[in-house]
Amino acid sequence: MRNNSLLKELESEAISIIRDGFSRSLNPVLMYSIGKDSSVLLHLAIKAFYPSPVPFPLLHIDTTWKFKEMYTFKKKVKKKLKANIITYTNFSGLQKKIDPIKNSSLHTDVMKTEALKQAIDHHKFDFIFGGARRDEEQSRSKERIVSLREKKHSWDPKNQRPELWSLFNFHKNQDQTFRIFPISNWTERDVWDYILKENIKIVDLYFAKKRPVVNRDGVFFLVDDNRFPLKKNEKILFKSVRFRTLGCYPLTAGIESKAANLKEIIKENKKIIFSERAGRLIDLDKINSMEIKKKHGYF
Amino acid sequence: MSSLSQIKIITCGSVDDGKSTLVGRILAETNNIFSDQKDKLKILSKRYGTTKNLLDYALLMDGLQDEREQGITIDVAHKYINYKNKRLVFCDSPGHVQYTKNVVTAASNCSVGIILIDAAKGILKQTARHLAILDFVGIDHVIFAVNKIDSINYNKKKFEALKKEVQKIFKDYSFKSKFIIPISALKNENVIKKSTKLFWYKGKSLLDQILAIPSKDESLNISYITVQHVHRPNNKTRHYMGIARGFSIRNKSTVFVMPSKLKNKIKNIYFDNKKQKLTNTNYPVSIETESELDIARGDIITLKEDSIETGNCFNASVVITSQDNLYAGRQYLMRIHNKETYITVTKIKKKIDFNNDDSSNLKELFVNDIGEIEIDTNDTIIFAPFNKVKELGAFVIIDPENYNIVAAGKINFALRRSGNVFQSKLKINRVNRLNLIKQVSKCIWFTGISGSGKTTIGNALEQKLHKKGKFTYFLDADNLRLGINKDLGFSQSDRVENIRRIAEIAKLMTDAGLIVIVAAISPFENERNFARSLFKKNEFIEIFVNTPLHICKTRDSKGLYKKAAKDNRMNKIGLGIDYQIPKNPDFTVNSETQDLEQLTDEIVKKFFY
Repeated sequence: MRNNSLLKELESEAISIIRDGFSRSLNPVLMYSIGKDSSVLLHLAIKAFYPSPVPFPLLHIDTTWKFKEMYTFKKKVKKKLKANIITYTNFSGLQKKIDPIKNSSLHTDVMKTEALKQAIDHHKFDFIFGGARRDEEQSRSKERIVSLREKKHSWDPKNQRPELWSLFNFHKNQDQTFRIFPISNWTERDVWDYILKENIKIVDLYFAKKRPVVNRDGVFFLVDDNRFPLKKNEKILFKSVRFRTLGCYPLTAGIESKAANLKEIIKENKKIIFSERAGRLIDLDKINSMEIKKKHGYF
Repeated sequence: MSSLSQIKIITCGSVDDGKSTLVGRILAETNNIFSDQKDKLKILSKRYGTTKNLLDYALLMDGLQDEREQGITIDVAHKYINYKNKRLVFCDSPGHVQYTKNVVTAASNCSVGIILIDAAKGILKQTARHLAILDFVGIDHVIFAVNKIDSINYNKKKFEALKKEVQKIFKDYSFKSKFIIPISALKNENVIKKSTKLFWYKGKSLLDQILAIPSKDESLNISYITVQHVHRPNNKTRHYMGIARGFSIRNKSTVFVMPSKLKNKIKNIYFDNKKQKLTNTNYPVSIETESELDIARGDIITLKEDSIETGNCFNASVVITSQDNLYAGRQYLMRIHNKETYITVTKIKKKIDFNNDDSSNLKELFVNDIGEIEIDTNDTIIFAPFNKVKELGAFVIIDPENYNIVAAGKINFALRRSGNVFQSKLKINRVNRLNLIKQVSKCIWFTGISGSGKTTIGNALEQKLHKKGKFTYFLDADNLRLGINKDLGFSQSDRVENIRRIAEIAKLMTDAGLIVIVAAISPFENERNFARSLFKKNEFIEIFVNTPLHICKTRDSKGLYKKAAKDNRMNKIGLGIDYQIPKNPDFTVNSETQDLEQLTDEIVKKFFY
């Protein structure tokens, strides 16, 4: 197995951050999106507190447009780990029938960002652990591990606190919160290597399999249910595809692949010339898209 | 089993010396840019680029909107590269002086520092400052990359002259290794591969030099666990969690808990979802001990009783990371490993001079200053000098008022003063004195802006207490400035010292049994809190004289408001400007709406019955 010493170093750093943050928190929560990074983060949290159970709940922001397999997987995790998963949906957004297909950026704002903010306010969470990584996107590459969010959850990237050695500063005013990213320094490759090394269970969508898809500009969208409208001349194909990242199914493209197990995925990823988030439509609507979302409270 | 190891590298240097371009170049040449990212870069280069028709690689680093629009780097970008079986983490940091705090942030976790200099411009002030910062945070290996060597036509003589300059400023520092390498990031000369245009240069290319640096050797001759978290899954069990350092600790080993030095025995060791026989170096563990002793976050578990020192007074170096200066005499919060405590900066000894300023008689350090200070800590600190064990000597200073990080610091050595100054045990104490004169001593502290009526109310209150047969004393800040505080002016640091002295005098007098009334503007929450911290609970009463500014201005008994209106340069703290409204005063009065008689009656009723 490759690069054990690096994985050990990254794992050690992440566990230490989780413990350090938990120790100073009043009402912490772990953001659980059901994706591979969340699965790794959850695995690290389990390790951090072993032999005790994870001492905080998981929070899933449900847009109601996730892949079906993600919902099934969530149920399994809940059962197997006896995990306390809090599910939150922005119901006023749901009533307005805000749709990821017709208006993806409004959908992300209302059903993800707004929902997350509502959930944090409602439960009065103060320390929010998340699985974001710095290698994912340019504005994330600039963010601190312990990221202070102001009142109303806004992020001020121009004025971040210094973060020295591993001496995190967990002091804040009452109306501020912390977003804490224990796997900030992991790359996509590290995440896959770690999943392999630790035998972490992940959603089946990550593995190549014949699935009903439509081809749009060379990438493939899963026709997961009958809410997915086909364009003129579009046909449902059965292709062997896999997903590098998971979000709302109409906004997340898969790639054609034969990699059906972790070793094959790792091998194939090395040759892929597109970045991991290239399949995420929500990143592409504006050039500073992620930064703008983060300033307003997105993860 | 091939083992990938990690090297963390900071790139720094003055504005426009090509830091972001260099990292962008390395990303591109090592095939670490995805094609969709390259497409985005093309769009960005067209819109914001400064390199004509070439791709502007700096825009890969400068990921924030403001950075692109202003064409500068504001905060650190983290880039991860796999190259020849190494993980290289580049922390690309800003060159502008106002973002120096972000350079310190980036440097603190790196082991290699690259300082870029523009071959045509040479060494600038920021170059020297960044070198000092790399030294400060404990970076081992420093590479000077003389960039834009193409702009001096790959000229050997010019490079050699610059090299001499660099060696001159290098001389004062003892890094483990020092290199000076000519490159052109823009033209890709001597960055990845050796350049034929630099045929006269005998050393390695920049990237090969980085790879050739030996990975850090962290063998410690001590063994410890800093307690990060005490986990209590139920009321019977306690798990002490932290990273194990040095050689392993075995199950059933006898250990000592610092600073109490109490002996204990390891009962269980857990990590990696298993019960284990011994700890794993540099890996997070969770342990249970035989006896339930008081072990808290910030304590240290160690194998030998005397392997780690403790102390209360320290000589330390700091770099200031906040616009709020660091003041001598002021109280702050400190985090060192997992321990937090209040500290007082007792002395500012010196500062590194980048501007040839006069550095005698220092009372404060300003943002970006690097200096040497002395501190007293409220709690006993377990520590090691930074140059011996980084983790046990590095600290941050936090402003308890707004929670900004005021400074990064490192302990140089403990001062033995605390061991030499003994508190003499006296036979007659406060209680004896209070019994004799039959009163409860107190300190009534009036705070408020100039002209709010502190002295008037204080006077009336003292008269009333005097009539009741109480022993009192009135400390008026203006009067004290005629005597004991004669040497102090009105700068921020002098105001800090002014209040410190008044508070200490008030403390002595209450100890003597008196009811002390203080009237002082005391504009800063920090100093008022410091004053409170000297007294016993309920002994210190903070009264905020909250009179509206326009009333104070019309009163203007000392003529200060008129004077300030005429003189722009006058220090206006206390004249309604920069006065920090008390957050939790014990009592608030308003001399505009309340009658003096009624108001003092209320104070007496509330605090003297």
